[in-house]
Amino acid sequence: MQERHHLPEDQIIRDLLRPVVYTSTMNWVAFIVLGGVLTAFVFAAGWMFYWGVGVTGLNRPNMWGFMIVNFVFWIGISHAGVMISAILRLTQAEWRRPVTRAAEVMTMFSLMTAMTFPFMHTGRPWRTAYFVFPYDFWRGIWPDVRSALVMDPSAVFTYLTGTILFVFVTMIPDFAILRDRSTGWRHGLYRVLALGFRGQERQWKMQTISGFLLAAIMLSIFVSVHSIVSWDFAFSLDPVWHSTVWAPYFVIGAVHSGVSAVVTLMALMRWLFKFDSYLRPEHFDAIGRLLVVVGSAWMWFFMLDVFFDLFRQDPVDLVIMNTRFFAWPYVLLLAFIFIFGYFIPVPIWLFRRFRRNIKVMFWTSIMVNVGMWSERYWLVVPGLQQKYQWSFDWTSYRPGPIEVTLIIGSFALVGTLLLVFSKLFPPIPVWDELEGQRFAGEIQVGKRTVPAIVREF
Amino acid sequence: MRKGAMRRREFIKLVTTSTTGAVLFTGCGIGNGDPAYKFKFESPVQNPLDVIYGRDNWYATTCQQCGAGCGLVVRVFEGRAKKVEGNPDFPVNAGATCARAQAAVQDVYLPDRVGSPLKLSGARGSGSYQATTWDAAAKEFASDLSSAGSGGTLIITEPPSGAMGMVWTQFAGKFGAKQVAFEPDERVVLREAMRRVFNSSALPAIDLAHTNFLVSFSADFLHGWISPVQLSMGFGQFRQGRSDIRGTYYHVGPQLNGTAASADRWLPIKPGTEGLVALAMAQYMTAQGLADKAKAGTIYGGISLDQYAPEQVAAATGLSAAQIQDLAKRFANGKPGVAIAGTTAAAHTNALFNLTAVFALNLLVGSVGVPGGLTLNPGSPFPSGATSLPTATSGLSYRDWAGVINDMKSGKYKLAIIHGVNPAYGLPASSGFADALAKVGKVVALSTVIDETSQLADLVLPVNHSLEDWGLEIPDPGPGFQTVALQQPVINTLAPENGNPGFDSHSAGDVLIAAAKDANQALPWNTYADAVQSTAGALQGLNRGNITATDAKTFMLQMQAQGGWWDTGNKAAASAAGAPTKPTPAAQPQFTGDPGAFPLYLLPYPTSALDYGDGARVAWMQGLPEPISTTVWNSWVELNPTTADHYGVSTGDLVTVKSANGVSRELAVYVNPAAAPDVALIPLGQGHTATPNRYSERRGVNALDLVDASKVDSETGALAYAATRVQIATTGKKVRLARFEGQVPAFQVPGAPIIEIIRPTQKQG
Amino acid sequence: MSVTQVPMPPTPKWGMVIDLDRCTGCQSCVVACQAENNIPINTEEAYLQRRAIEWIRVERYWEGEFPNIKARYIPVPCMHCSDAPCEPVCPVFATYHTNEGINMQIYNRCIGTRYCSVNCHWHVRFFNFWQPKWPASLENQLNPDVTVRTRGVMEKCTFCIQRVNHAEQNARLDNNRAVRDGEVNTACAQACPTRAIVFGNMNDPQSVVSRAIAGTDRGYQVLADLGTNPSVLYLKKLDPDAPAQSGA
Ligand SMILES: Nc1nc2c(c(=O)[nH]1)N[C@H]1C(S)=C(S)[C@@H](COP(=O)(O)OP(=O)(O)OC[C@H]3O[C@@H](n4cnc5c(=O)[nH]c(N)nc54)[C@H](O)[C@@H]3O)O[C@H]1N2
Ligand SMILES: Nc1nc2c(c(=O)[nH]1)N[C@H]1C(S)=C(S)[C@@H](COP(=O)(O)OP(=O)(O)OC[C@H]3O[C@@H](n4cnc5c(=O)[nH]c(N)nc54)[C@H](O)[C@@H]3O)O[C@H]1N2
Ligand code: SF4
Ligand code: SF4
Ligand code: SF4
Ligand code: SF4
Ligand code: SF4
Repeated sequence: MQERHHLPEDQIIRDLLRPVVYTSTMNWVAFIVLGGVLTAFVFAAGWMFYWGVGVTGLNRPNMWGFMIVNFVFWIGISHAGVMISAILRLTQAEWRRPVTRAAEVMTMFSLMTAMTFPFMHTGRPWRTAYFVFPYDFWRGIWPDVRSALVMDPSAVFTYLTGTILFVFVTMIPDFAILRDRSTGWRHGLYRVLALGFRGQERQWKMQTISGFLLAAIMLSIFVSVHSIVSWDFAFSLDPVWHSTVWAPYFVIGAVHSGVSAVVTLMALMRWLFKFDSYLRPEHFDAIGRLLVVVGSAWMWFFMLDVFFDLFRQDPVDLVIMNTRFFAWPYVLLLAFIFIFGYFIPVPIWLFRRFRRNIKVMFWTSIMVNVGMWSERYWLVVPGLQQKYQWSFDWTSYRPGPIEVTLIIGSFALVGTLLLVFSKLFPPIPVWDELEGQRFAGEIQVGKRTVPAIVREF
Repeated sequence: MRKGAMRRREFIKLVTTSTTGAVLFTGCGIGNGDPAYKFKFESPVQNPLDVIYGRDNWYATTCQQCGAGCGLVVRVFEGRAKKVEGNPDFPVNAGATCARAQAAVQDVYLPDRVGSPLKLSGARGSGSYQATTWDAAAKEFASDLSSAGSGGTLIITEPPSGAMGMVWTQFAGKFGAKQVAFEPDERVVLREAMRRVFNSSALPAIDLAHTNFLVSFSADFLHGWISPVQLSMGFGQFRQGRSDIRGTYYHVGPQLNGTAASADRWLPIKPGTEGLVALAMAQYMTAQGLADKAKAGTIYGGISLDQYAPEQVAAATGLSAAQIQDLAKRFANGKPGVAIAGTTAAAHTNALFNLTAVFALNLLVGSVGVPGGLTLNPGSPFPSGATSLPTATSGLSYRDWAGVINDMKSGKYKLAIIHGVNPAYGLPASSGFADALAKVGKVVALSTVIDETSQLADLVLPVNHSLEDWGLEIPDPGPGFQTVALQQPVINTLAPENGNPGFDSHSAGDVLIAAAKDANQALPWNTYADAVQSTAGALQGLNRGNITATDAKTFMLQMQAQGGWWDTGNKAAASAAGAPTKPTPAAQPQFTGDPGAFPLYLLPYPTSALDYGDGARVAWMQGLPEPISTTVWNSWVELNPTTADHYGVSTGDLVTVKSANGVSRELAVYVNPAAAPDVALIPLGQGHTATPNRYSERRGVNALDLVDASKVDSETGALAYAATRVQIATTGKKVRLARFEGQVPAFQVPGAPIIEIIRPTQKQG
Repeated sequence: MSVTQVPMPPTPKWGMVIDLDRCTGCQSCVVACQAENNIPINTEEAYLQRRAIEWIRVERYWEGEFPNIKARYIPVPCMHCSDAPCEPVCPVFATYHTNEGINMQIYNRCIGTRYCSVNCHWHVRFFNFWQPKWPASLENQLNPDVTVRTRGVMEKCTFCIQRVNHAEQNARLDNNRAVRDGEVNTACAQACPTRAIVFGNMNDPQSVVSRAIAGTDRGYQVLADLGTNPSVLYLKKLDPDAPAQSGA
């Protein structure tokens, strides 16, 4: 059950808008560190574009590596947004309120980051832009819709569009709040973004309805996106990749890593922005309970995937399974998957005491994503290095420094985007908090205490 | 608007509907309802009628990448040689080529090819040269020739053969010069073996298409030995050219080389025991009545076969008596059976014995001059006389080189002219060749590249590549009948032009003819083209062969078009092969080094791509995987897995190979599952030092450095380069050894083989 | 102007038969293909990085243990799968099938996703990880009929499409007839000194390639169970030491 905290409305507004107007020292430190990593990222990408994909560790037959793994990882992270916002909104879970914005924005930025990777991975991204967008209409040559690489960006772009719309709609009341409290260029920006929102009943109604509708639509996209990402692999004939179970397995894995990433972000916001009275232990508690379920479902699918290969006893699969389970470095990654991805965090989350301990939640959530990154690598990379019985061609893959820089840089990119966002817009929805307060208000009717407001939705 | 032209709006409509439809239908899998129907995409980019092909020319010529003399046709486009193909008409290779011939087009455009005459500008051997003009260089060469005086000139070339050999011989005669030839010692032994066994200086053809059983004693005949294309063509027929018989091939040798990989069975022997196995076979065959005892007596005259029963030699050879007996039975029964020996069999102290003992087996079972057997090649069709073409001549053996080197050291020679060979690389360093050359007053090199020998010259005269030059060759081994290969320039030497360096080279023959003229010793021709054409013209008078033209010009044109002249009817008399002229005494191989201290036999071997080092300058050859280890661009040492375990090393570990002659070299290990446990295999052909040579310089080591050069074949004096023992010491260092094979030793996955193998149903040869 | 309808000759289906019992692993085919098709020079670095490009490559497999060990060779060009798994995964149709059975590669359309290579189980698709370079003098050798690829594009065996097209064009100009057997040959088959490789029109029962496969029970396709129906057929290696019912 949600505990009730009653705070004056003006204090809520002041607290939640503070990151927008005030930049702490820690904030500056974060900017500088992230900016430094981001510079390295830009340099690494530039280096690769100039010289070619040769600077990576990719080879024949390992044509896909770190960048594709990272793409899958960030797409996974993006699944938190809808999980938290859409599902919890539709199920009217009250505890979602302070968490939604961070989750949605993270969805948006991790999707953008994820999408850069397949483009970068081609080595000459401008060619993709040239050949895919203003395509060769003159000769009637279209992208091949049978290719998962056409379905995949379509799904991801749809998801990104939906997310941006969704974030926008849920932010309109906050834009209005900001517009009413700012001057100068900020006022101009917020005024345009607020679309004339004045808090009239009709406007509130439209905002609420569109939020719900978008949430419902996003739910189907949410399931499809990571399914389609899994098809990048599952559509191929590669041993261990061409597995039907990968679609739901990828989706549940995405939720596991995404929701954990939200926990990480909540803890960071709490420390950085001093949101102690908004991101309270009970929020961590609720998310922790959700994670126990999601994590266990993920572990179930993980085992299923392994069992399917063992059950079939196809020698070409078994060769790769053997590598995954016994060969370096996959055996280490496997340990990460089990220990960090599941067997440390989930048992810990069973205890209410730990779920309410922010530090514990922070570190366990980090662990999950270490485990989940390892899992993506473990799933993708071994599939190529011992393809079929061509033992003459079997070759392992080791990422180059450029690839490692790009991967580290992607974390900085998401971090920077989030930080910049928090300098422009409140990272916790102000109106949602206020609405929560109002809904929490109670009045005495006769002997009974009933909510002060009756919900229409 | 023209009638029938499509309006823009219609066009847009059409495009939109058809493309949307295509996307929808294929996307939704609607199609035409036929599950077999696939969305097949026809690219309008193919635009077949729009492509205008440039005009190319195909010229027939002769391959000079090795001594086999295959016929080529070269595709020439705007004066550039683009592609080499086999000349389908030419009887030696019937249209096929080996990998080295394919790389000829890269050889001719070598980026480090000498671009102009070079005059030494520093100390001898320093490699610093200054470009000079042909006029100045030719004048200098002519005056050197005049001042060297009779007997003061030393000429080092390939074994003189064909038109170039003819020019050289005449040239040497005019100036009273000493003419010596360099070739890998293995071939010196082979020639001597042919003379002794078959009384023939030409190499024999093998009628593999009709052979039933073939045994090769170490000869790498599919990948480099004497005439690999001719033999490979035959091998294809041998295996699958007959519907009823599939020829059986056994390989006896200390190494599973690329050729042995195609054998039905490989019998690994101790290095240098090829001759012993052959004698044991002969003994067994005669004892079992499979061969005529009296005949064996003549053939192996002087050797008492009774001492060589399989049981007696088995231990020394590393085989079991049963294996030798089985081999002998198959060989005797597989009529016609053929036995050949070469490559490393000819690199021992008993080299000549090894080869003669094996080739004599053919005489013993009557496989000479019969279908499916060895076919001796007929003599030259050219009339003998002053301008006869030298054929099937031999190089000096290593022992004979010592004499030449002593003469050089003694200051006997005022001028050395070197053309087309690289003895400074091909003779072991301990021979002292380089030092001796320094004692010669003046060294002139005729070369396309700066190699280890031309690097020691005072004057480097850039000569045309074989694709840019004339020539006339009698392929050796020929196809079994009289054959002459005509070489013609298929391209002109590229002149320097806008940014392209170009090569200002001359035909070597022209250089000699001009120099002789300038030194007032004119040769009988005005140009080398003259020499070739007038000599080839003599064939017209024979009134036989493939060319029927009656006038000289048409005759020459037809010969150029066909790539040569041949007369399928003119074969050597079968009786030409009599008894061996001079029997070779049986001998065990001797090795330098005590087996306790130096536990491994060093077995250097020529590779198919680099041969004895000639291929190393070409990028495609450096980058061509060695057929067994698949290693490229480097030198390495191959060890058996148990041997490698013994030293605690694996592929890529750097070890010091120390030979019993005191030299040591660091080499990366390649663990070769087929290497014998007591053998260290090191490829020849690398370790070049001459610069500039971007593809070969400072790559790997020259395996000859490890060889004890005092070990020579007792009969011919040829260098026994496989008669040294080595020890291995680990260095603890690891290097990345470039190879084509992946990271695991490529064994076929059990139950799911890439290469499917079945038992033959045909009769086994 | 009047246009006369000229009957089109029957569509060929190009195919190849490789006899493993003839092949000796000499790799003449490998260099012939490099020379014909402007394949970048495989430097030592290319091998160390495991990115060497050989449109047709010869693989060497071991069997057994010393002294009863065998080394076996198999030349592997693109299989030109009739149902090529590399094709539908390409997002931009840079690899597609001609109606003559050739799996084609359009270099200037390829955007470098490498998906086709990931989904080719014969490992015959090679990516240009670096910009291919030739010293100026070696550029003289490049075949003007074949595009020199740039970095970032996939390349592979094309069944020497430039030779096929040229032969077809000549046949069309000659009364629109069909290409005759032997009028077009690939560079690898042309060079092969054991005549292990035969190329031609599989739709013509009289062609050398059709007869090579029709007259034998040794034919097989590598990884046939993937169901892609390769147009490159192999003839099984023969070995008297093979177990009685091995292979299959
Ligand atoms: N299928 C195909 N068609 C093409 C092209 C292609 O790539 N493929 N390329 C197109 C292009 S880019 C071009 S520029 C055109 C070229 O097409 P054309 O202009 O037709 O080219 P040419 O055949 O080079 O020259 C035409 C004639 O001019 C003559 N000529 C030369 N010097 C003189 C002179 O001083 N005076 C006069 N009066 N005549 C002279 C030549 O002998 C020749 O007969 O072809 C185009 N057509
Ligand atoms: N030898 C010779 N030289 C000439 C001429 C000549 O007739 N003969 N003509 C001269 C004249 S008039 C001209 S205009 C120039 C023309 O010179 P270039 O422009 O060099 O002409 P092409 O060789 O026709 O085409 C260049 C390349 O473009 C490729 N290509 C074809 N379609 C496309 C496409 O859609 N996209 C891309 N990226 N590439 C494509 C072709 O395969 C070809 O390799 O040559 C001049 N030089
Ligand atoms: S065997 Fe020798 S002559 Fe014949 S093609 Fe090969 S390199 Fe040329
Ligand atoms: S072998 Fe590979 S590249 Fe060739 S058609 Fe088949 S899947 Fe495509
Ligand atoms: S690498 Fe090129 S050809 Fe291959 S799938 Fe990607 S775009 Fe298509
Ligand atoms: S068919 Fe042509 S492109 Fe294919 S491997 Fe052979 S030579 Fe190369
Ligand atoms: S050229 Fe012929 S024999 Fe040589 S490796 Fe290629 S297929 Fe085999």
